[in-house]
Amino acid sequence: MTNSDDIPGMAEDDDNSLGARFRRFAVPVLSFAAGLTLLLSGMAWGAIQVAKDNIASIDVAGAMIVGLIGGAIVVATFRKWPTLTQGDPVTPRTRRYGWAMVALIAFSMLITLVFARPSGGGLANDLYSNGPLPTDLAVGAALLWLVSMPLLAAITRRNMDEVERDLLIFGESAGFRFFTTVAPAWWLGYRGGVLPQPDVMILFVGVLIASFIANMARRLT
Amino acid sequence: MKNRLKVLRAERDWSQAELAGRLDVSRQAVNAIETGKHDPSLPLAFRIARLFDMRIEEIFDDEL
Repeated sequence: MTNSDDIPGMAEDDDNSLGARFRRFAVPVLSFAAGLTLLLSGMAWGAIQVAKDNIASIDVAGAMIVGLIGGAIVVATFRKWPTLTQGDPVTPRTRRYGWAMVALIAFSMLITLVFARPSGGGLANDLYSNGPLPTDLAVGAALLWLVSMPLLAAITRRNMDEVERDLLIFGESAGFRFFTTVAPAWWLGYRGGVLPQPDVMILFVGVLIASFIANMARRLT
Repeated sequence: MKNRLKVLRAERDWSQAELAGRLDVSRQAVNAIETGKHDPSLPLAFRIARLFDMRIEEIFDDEL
């Protein structure tokens, strides 16, 4: 019977060290994240200049260049690694999964641009505050979120393989545990007068971070 | 659960990616199954068995 170690090239394939697993996953993901960050930064930068009637300014040109570079990196990354991992076979299922992931991330980031609207408080205050939004904008964005997120989640879940689904469930479970641990404690602390009022969006971000960390830890160990 | 997937793959000179493509799963899934980190579902175990033209218990063994 053949031993897999006897076959040339198989050793690299079977390298399960932490570094190898991190490299296989982190390189495409970081490349994609960097491209997406540049793309959306360019979009936000441009949108702010347009809102300020600075259409003819050098900032708009700069925003376009940054956005285009980011878009090129995203497209190149996705063409090279459609599943955002190295060495994965490209099949119709993985392509659908890859596109669903791209749509999910792009859509999530697009929604955040709703909040990148300048006012007297400045961009940072608008982005990270609980300040009021125009009713039409807020309701429209909320409805878009409510319709699109379940749809994208269903498409993504349907097209992932069972190992990826296990990782997702593990991450989601950690996020749920984070919420059930932190939210009541924060609420009790607030009622006891020792903590500020619980902020749902801070909890939301906390859940996402806990899910992501758990998913990555499971993936790499 | 122990399994002979890595050896069967090696006998055919397939890479993990190649086997993953034949099973329509990710390379990571093949790796996880080979290293015993993930026990495949029954449908996937059947796909693996059919691919190698073997019975499931000839590939997977919970008593090894």
